[in-house]
Amino acid sequence: MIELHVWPAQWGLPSMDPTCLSLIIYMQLIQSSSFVLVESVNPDLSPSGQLPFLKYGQDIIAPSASIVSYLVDNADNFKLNVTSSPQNTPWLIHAESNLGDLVLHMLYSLHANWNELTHPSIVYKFPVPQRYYTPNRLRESYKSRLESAGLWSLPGIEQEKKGFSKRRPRKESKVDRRDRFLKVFEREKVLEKARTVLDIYSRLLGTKNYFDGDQPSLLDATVAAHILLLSRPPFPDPLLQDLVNTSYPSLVSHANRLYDQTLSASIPTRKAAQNNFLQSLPPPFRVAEESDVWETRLRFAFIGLMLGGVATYLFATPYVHPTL
Amino acid sequence: MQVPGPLKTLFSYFPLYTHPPLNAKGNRALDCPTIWVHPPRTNNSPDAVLSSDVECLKWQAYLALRGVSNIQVRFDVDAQGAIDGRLPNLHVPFDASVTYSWSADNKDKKAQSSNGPIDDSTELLSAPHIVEWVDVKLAHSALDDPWEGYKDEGAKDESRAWVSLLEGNVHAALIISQPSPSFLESLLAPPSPPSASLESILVPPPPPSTGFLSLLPSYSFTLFSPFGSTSSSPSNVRISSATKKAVFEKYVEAITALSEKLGTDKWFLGSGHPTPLDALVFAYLHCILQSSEVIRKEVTRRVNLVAWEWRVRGMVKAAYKRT
Repeated sequence: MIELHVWPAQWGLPSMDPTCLSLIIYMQLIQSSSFVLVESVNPDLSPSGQLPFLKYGQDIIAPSASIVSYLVDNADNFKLNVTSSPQNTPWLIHAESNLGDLVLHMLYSLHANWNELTHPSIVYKFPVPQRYYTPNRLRESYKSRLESAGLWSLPGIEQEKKGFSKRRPRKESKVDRRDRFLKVFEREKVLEKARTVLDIYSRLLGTKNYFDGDQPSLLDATVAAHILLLSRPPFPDPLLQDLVNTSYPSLVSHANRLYDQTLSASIPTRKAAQNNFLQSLPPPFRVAEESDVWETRLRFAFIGLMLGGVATYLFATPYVHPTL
Repeated sequence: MQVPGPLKTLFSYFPLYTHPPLNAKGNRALDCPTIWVHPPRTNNSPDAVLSSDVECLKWQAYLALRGVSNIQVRFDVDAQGAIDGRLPNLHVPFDASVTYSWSADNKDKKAQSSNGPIDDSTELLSAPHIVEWVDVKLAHSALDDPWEGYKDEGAKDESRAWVSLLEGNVHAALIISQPSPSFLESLLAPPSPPSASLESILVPPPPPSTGFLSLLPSYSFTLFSPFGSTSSSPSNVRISSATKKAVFEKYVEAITALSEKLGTDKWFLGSGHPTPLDALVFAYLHCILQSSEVIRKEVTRRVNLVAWEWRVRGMVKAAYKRT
């Protein structure tokens, strides 16, 4: 049985991560429900260090590009109806990076969304010590990508923390005007970027049912997954959600069509076995590669020599009984 | 309030001299536009005018393909001396009759005198302003091209997809294939340019080096040498072998798609004239052909890409000369 380990389900969708969700939709398209979804919060088990990853017998495959090529290569074994469409390579990458940036911006960068939606939905799924630092580590890992796209750390609609609001109102009135102007300007820039990207996809889709004509493909799955994650979750700060829902009805209906086709039937899911938290504390053990073996040997040789030297020094000097 | 007596005598032992301002223009007059780029790999021959950095080479190709010629190249400026710390920059003679979108319009500006402390006779442009400068120089308005020089709107949209393919897959493969410098080299070499790192390109981003769930914080070794800190390989993320394999496979797919799309066309996407996409493709192909064997052989297998790169290289080289 094929097991697909993904980030947990939220907001009526089988996974909260765009890469995982596009893979789930694609797998539903090529074979219905002969695989099991495993909701996991431990990306360290994966060979690439990130979810999603696929497990079949002894094979563990990650990241998602390798999973797709593994499924295509073993299509006969798994009885899949796969038609690979090589001409979509540039569009796939464009969708993953640009639409992915927009989704990550909504989920992880806007403070209101992070504090009130994403963080509370994921934090209780982690075991006790991890829930205090892992969500922030996740957020930091997306930071450099969003920074290079210019989509990081926007001022949001509401203040970040409401705890000390009683002390603040006096100072707020002076800072507010300039800040408000900056906020609106920055948000307009993000909207502009989003409009450019979404315009391209709505032009590409046109009036067709799917991007490739009659049959849905991996590109449809990817775009639909991102649009679903932009339109469905109940965002406190609906910056891009409003844009998508009001200005791009064709993309939203395409996403809904794919949802009805694939995700409306429930997929067998189970939760990953919770590891004893002590096991997940040390860094993940890497499978030994060729260059690593040499490194490990040299490391052990050095430690052995060092300990041997210390032992020789200790035992070589004669033990002098302290005088009474 | 006067300086008290004893303090005055103390200060008289350390007099202050004011020297007249230097002539900032220097000895050489700027007769043709000069582009400041990273040096090429083999700096010896007088033929080597193309930079080894993808970003700089992209702008060099853009200038040459748009028809600007007789540009001088300068390799001795470090990235830290450029605007925003990023090369390439273009040093052009100042033209008071033209107002760019970024220059303040002073209609009553006096004639520029080049003897003062600030040299007003030339201008230094950073990369985003180069496009406008070329438009002005060639007396060409951006509104003349209906789809930015592409065949139609569909081609223009597709060009965006190809740009993200190049800047994603191909760039990631280029970064991974570069051999990591030895400890001695990384101490002695000048600080390398802050090009896009792997963690901003890969989807999903690579995990921190100690994993997401472990109690240990992620570590990163940044070596602080006398020449500045080296951040050539930010090691606080873990790039596993599975990720490297996937990057390489995606790179092979990308080069296959690129080669199929080019076919026997003169310019990409069937455009009649060279476009910015052509400049970007040339920059990446040229850098790949000078990299390690693993990624170079994918391109050398595709004859049409090699021939195209050779032809465009001739065109680009013809526009530049060394100082």
